[in-house]
Amino acid sequence: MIDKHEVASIASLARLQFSDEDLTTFTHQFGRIVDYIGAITQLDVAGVEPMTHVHDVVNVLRDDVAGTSISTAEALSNAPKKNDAFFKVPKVLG
Amino acid sequence: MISFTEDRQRFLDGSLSVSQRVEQCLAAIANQAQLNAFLHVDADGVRAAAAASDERYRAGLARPLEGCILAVKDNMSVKGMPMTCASRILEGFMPLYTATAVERLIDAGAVVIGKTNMDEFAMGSSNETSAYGVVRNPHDPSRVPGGSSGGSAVAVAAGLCHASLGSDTGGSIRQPAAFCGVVGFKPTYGVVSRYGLTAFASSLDHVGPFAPTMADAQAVFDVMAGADAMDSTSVPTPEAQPMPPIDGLKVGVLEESYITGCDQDIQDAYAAAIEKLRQMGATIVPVQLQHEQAWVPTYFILATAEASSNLARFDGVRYGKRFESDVDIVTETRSRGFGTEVQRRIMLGTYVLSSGYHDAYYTRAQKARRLIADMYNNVFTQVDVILLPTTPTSAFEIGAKQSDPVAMWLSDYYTVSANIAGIPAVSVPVGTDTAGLPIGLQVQGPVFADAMVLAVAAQV
Amino acid sequence: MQTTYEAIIGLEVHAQLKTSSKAFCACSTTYGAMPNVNVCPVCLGHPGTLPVLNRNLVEWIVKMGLATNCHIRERSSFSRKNYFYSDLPKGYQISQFADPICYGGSVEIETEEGPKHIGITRIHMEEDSGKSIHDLDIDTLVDLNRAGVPLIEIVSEPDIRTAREAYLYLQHIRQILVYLDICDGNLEEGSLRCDANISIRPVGQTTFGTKTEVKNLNSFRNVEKAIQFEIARQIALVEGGAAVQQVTMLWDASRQETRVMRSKEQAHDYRYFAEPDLVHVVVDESWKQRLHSALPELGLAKRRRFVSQFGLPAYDAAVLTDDAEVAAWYEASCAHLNAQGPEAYKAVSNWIMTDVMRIMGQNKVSISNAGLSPEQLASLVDVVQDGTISSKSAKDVFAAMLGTTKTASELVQELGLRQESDEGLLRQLVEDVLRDNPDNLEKYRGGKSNLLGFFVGQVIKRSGGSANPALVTSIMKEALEQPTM
Repeated sequence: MIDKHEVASIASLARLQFSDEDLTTFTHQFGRIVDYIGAITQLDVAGVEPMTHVHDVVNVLRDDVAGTSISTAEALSNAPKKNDAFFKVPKVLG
Repeated sequence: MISFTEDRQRFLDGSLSVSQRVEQCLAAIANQAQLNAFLHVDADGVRAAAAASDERYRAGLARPLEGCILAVKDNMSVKGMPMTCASRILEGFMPLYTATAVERLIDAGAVVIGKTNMDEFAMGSSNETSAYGVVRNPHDPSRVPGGSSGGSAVAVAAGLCHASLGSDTGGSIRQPAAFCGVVGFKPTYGVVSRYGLTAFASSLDHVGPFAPTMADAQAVFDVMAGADAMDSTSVPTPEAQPMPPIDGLKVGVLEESYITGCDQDIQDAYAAAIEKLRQMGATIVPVQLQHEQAWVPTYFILATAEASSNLARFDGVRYGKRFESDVDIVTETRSRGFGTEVQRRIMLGTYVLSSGYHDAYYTRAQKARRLIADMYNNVFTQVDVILLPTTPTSAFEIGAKQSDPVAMWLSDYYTVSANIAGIPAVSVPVGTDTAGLPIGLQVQGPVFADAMVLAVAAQV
Repeated sequence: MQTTYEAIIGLEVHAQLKTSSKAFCACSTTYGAMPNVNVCPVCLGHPGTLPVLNRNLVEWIVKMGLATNCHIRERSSFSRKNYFYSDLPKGYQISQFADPICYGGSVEIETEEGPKHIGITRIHMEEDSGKSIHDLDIDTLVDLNRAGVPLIEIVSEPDIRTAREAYLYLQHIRQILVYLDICDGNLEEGSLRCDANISIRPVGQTTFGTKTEVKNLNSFRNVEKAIQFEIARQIALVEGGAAVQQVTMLWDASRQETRVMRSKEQAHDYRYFAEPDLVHVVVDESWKQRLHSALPELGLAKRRRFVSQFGLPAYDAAVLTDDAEVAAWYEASCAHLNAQGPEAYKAVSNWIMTDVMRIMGQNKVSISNAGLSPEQLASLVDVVQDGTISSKSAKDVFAAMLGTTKTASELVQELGLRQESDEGLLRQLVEDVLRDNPDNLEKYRGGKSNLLGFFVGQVIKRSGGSANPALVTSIMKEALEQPTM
């Protein structure tokens, strides 16, 4: 059974934060979900290789040639905070 | 609904212009605003493009999709139009490039009318998780259109465009297609480039078309398909295989036990379709699709794991909306910018990848994936295609499945396995149920048998 | 009884590859003066973008693996390393986890106690992050030029035992990277980065002690000093009854000490999983062979060959082969010598190690821009070897040669530096000098043997400075051995 403390840890890893009330609701829902996906443990997967890709294509490579980049202005055009040249974020405290 | 393949004849003979059709669509979008299918309509842009298309028709320079009025799901980049993925976190975002699939369609003459509403970050089966309001089913606006590509399905169903693009990670094209009574096609994995599709679950995501008819869906697919240098997982268009006649085709069908959970009307429609194919000379073969209890759990473990990583880039640093904080703008932005369903899935994905649980869930799910893919390979040695339901029910009421997160996921039962295995699958409308709501049935085939799947579905 | 401790050291080296484009997109990797110019939607981590692997990242890491005797894994894959940081655009780094493309190799370093093998656990491919600048503004400024530049991470076995060995190992790895022409190898600029894992244990103990990781080793000197400091710090801790904490430390060059890095007390769970957007890399036998045959002769092998082929002392061989360009220049020069043989080879070496390298250092140029060609130097060595000029005059010829294309022979002619080597003439002069200096001759016969130099000097003076000193000396000696004239 998954507990609130564990859910809070995962949230922290994912950079999410919940109010205490939401955390309680969430923990309950989360428990239900984890129980559901637990059906996977019933499957006999002895000796089965994990499947990571649909097709067995290999060696998709790009020649080492520099192409055109976008302008600094374009690169910064969607930035929430910036100056002429950089993205800006608050300094991490502590 | 308006069909491009039909309109094209009229564009060619001059009895209809693209600009006229575009005006009708723009008016229809406005009239049907309560459906909330569109997040962005580019009236000026589409009018200009329509005028250019009309010029080409006059000059005898019409391209294969000249004047095809196209709506694009708002998780695919189109330069010059905003993209939100139906999320607060991308409010105001303007993509810097256009998705390859869309680019190819535009190069073939398609005119993009706007971006359609969807479940936030493609996570949902009802289009109820959009940060910009629910989308309504045109057959009954109190009901869901399905999701996550609800807006795109509605846009075609309500005659607001010729065709639309959606994305399908666990059924998000096929299920809304069934609920809205249109064709919705998920191609073989990799045949349509994912470059420009905001990733939800990279190894399960597919781009595909919605259209009124199979011929229209085929026309759009043919232009989009093919390897793309910008997508390492893309593969070349499958070589045109000689199409086996229906008479002689082996069609796999599900045994009774697999469909007892479906509404009676859907069971009846299924039986009727089987009979129709049998009358046409197909050999009907009952098949067992094994490991079906594991399909949805496998899907959710893999999809949420990849999603938790794919959505890590939304941090308020380089683009999108930033929610300020004295402590941590990243946590603040993500906690307030993402909706509940998205947060839930990110949490689950983080959990199944975290140390201590990785092997029990994630690695296990990857192995289950192999079993499911092998199972399909095996079944396709016995049959050419499989006919099965798309959904267990027709469109449900808005709000009906809100209380239990798992209940919503169960409705993906018939669709997720095709994403897990990467096989082509299409939902084709087969009429309505007793309440007048559309029913869709699904045809699945082996990898690269896209053309055959579409051809067989056209007969259903 | 006092416990003796040994240090267990492993180095993790990140080498930035000098490819033309980034690891997963076509942006340029050139050191851009302006921030955020070498960027595109892919390396900015925009939604919908996908990575496409740079061929040279694969070929160059295989070359490095072959050059360090690693096994090359035939099929390898990429993984995502998930964490949040302002200069990590995707919120994950594409790297390799369980199946690095190179593994199980080793290099041999030349220590003062003799050669020693250092194992290489693995070499894997990954991408660099951008840069966060903290001290220019009230906010942190983020520059993503560097985001996506290809890196290879070289992890050594914990076989290193002293700070000196670490220094030598790092020098060796650097040399290979530079020889292969895949990395600039500049620790100060950051194209080469080094972290050290250090622990201590009493000699004889087989289990490892707790290790610390030391970062910010941004010069070879600092690598050595930091490791020395940390070893001493750990020994002092343990001797004092305390335990070594498993922490990450920074080397503080200004205070000359290691100190614990200020960091959030979050344990890093990177949640590695297979990168779905990149397919596997398969390096088959024929590809591997092709890369193997394209490998240049590496430093150590070349050094040994210089000793055996050219008869050079180990010191000369080491200096000449430190830079592949210098080594090639040296060989070209030797090939142009008329007088082949160890004496001439040594002469070429001497010229390069002194005068040529002085010019390179002063003008900050490579050997190809030092002002003379390998052929020219060979011609100079020849005219000294065959006695045409004295070694004293050679310096003048060298100076005159710089910046011209003239051979030594041409300049000897121009400058009239040909030395007199006519034996008959010199014999006559020797006789003249001895005849004209009877008192000194008597003193010489009486035992003052150092007057030889005087007599030789007189002959050279009478010749107007052009007499071949070596020849004069031998004729003089002969003459002095004659019975009294």
